[in-house]
Amino acid sequence: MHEIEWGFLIVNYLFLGGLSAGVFFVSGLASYLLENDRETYGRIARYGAMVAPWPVALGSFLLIFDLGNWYRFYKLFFHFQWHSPMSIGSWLLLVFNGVAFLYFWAWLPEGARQALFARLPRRLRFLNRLNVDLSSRRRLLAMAGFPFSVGVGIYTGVLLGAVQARPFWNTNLVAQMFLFSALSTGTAVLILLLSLNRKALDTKQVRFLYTLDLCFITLEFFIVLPYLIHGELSVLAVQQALELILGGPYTFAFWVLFMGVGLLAPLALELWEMKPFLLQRAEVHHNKPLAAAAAFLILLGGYMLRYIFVFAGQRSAFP
Amino acid sequence: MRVCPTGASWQRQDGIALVNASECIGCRYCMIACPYDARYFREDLGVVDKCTLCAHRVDRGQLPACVETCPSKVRVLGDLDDEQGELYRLLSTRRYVVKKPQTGNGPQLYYLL
Repeated sequence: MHEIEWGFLIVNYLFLGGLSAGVFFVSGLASYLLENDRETYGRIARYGAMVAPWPVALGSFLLIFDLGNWYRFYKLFFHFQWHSPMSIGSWLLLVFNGVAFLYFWAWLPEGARQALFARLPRRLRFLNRLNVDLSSRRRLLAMAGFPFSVGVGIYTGVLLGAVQARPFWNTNLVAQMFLFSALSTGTAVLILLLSLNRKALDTKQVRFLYTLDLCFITLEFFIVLPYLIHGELSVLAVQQALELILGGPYTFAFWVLFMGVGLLAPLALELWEMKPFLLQRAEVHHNKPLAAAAAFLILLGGYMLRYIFVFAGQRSAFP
Repeated sequence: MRVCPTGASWQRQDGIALVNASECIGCRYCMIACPYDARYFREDLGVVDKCTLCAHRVDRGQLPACVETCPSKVRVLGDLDDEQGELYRLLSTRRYVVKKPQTGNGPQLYYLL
């Protein structure tokens, strides 16, 4: 059996990178949606902007520390290899990190920005030049970041899917699966933030996030399903690789922790929350604990998906 | 080799696959992508390494150490294009297999049957 080279650092990075991509995407979308010229979803956009840059930045550090020679990471940016998903991915990460920070800056409240610069020691006063107001560029930055957030979300799957030698990964469905999981976990973070906040839930905002997440989870489900069917109808190597989750060591993690607890349970919870709206065009339920629980389960499911794919994938091989 | 993000993992014109240790960042992507599990991680240097087919000896016109020292002389190194060579003769007269050709790597290690 093949040894495990990529461990939990990589699992965490794939999860955190996807999380940021999802948060940015949803926040950017929210910043575009106006009703009567008013930013109805401004709170979602702001929360998203405040959160988006940090997980991916942390993930990038984890990625660097996973290298055998972490101080050589700069070489990733001096040798562009178009045929290596990791080479393309590191550029995507770099640009996405940058745009996410600019977007954060654009949404940072004026007061917080001024307070930050007021605290600068005298010697660093020259940095005051950076105290610029980007709030008029929020939508431009969101637009610039969309392709990179989707890029980061999908690249984490391409990184694994591009490896021919590992039949568990070697299908283009992995990229889509990771993308929709990323978008869903990003939405979940925003649902969690809204439900943990003391302010009352705003019906429209909650409905917006639930609707998005229901779409993402459903799409993810209908990618996982063909992944399994396709694999079972594929060559022997792929069928054997799928045994890892169909009776093998990752069966419980896949079916119970990912599919059950992490995908179908939150889907059911969100459908329940949305039921009055879906069936009677009435208000959605405003159940904060339930919303928080659904969001938490989605995050757990997203993490499990990456854990299962990173570990099981490395244990799969051609016979 | 394709997955290497820095180009540290490369293949010579004569087919020998090598790792340039000074360019390797130790991401181990190539180890994961290798269907033969031929690569290993050098904990002391933080880079990936593999059999070099004694490229330094081959360059001097010598045989790889394993070929030269093999007690029963079952290993043969040669040029596939050299029609007068022993390798060409063996492969054109004997049956042989290569490992995992379905991965599309064009392996050039032939096992005579």
